[in-house]
Amino acid sequence: MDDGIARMGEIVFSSTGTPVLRALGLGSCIGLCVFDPGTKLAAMAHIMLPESRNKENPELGKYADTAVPKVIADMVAKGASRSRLRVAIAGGAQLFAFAGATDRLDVGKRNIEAVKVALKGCQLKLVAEDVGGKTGRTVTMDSATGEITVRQVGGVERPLTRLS
Amino acid sequence: MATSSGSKTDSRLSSFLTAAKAGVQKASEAIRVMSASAIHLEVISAGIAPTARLSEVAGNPEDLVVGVYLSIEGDIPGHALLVLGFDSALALVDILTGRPLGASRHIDEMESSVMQELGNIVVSSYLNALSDYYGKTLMPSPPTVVVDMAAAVIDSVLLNTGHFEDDTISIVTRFAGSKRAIRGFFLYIPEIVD
Repeated sequence: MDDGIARMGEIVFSSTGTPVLRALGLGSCIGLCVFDPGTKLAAMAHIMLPESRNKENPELGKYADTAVPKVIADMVAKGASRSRLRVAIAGGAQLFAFAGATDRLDVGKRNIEAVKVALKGCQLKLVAEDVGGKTGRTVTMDSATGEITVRQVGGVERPLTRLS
Repeated sequence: MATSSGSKTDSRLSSFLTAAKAGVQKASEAIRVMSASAIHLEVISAGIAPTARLSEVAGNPEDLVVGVYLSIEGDIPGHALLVLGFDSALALVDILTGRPLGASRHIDEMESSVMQELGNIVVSSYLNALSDYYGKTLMPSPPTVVVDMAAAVIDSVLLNTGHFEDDTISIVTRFAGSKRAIRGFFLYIPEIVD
């Protein structure tokens, strides 16, 4: 479905028809936003988990360790310049206090760390982040401007950054 | 949970689903009594589904919902989540406390404790049936109530339960009301089926 919405585990790209990308209701998941200001190409991944256990898993968008390199490779294949790529992330919350939960079980926190490790591995700098906490988020990226906004329950859409 | 193929797994799964449906029946009876016959539960799906698709049962991912989560300890650990549309949760509070419909407007301390009570009753009735079926001990944790976006509530439970597999066994149940439509469902995810 080319509606610009990154569903769980999906990677979407901007196009003339769908200049705005969104990931709706992120809880522990991460919305990874990548933008090339030169070509105005934007990509968004709705990452669910820190790492893939099955390295042959075709659903690369699902895991932080596979989604980051996949998004970069696809953007470059679509004509983006790797050195121009700018990145922002949102999500990684922990809504429930799980009984006996340790950091090991805090998938939100582990997702944030895994995305940062993967970005470092690809030598990409994180420009802005709105992560952690106890509430869900919707993240929106407009490829016309590189502007990223975040909305939380009961709140208005607020600007996170403008990738340029 | 891990879902390997094989007839042993298949028969375990089918016997689990039988027990789970009996559990929903019990929970439905309990909620019928609690609500003076206003509400009951109906199973809408039971089986293995891709984890990523489970969040879609809630409808619009950004819809405001009330989530009630209980972790299940004991011989068959698992996770139980009740998800109710915000307005439906308020209507349930009105029905369960005998207030006129429309009296509840926010999920504050009182409303939250009614939601916890609902979670306790639905989940413990459900677990009683499972416990009878397997002859095993199952204990629910105290319920936690959150108000947030539907997808965020569901992904937080699914991903934090250690379900890192592609598929999740789940029982999805909806609340059905004779007096007023209650939009919501009950999700139960076992850790191990044995």
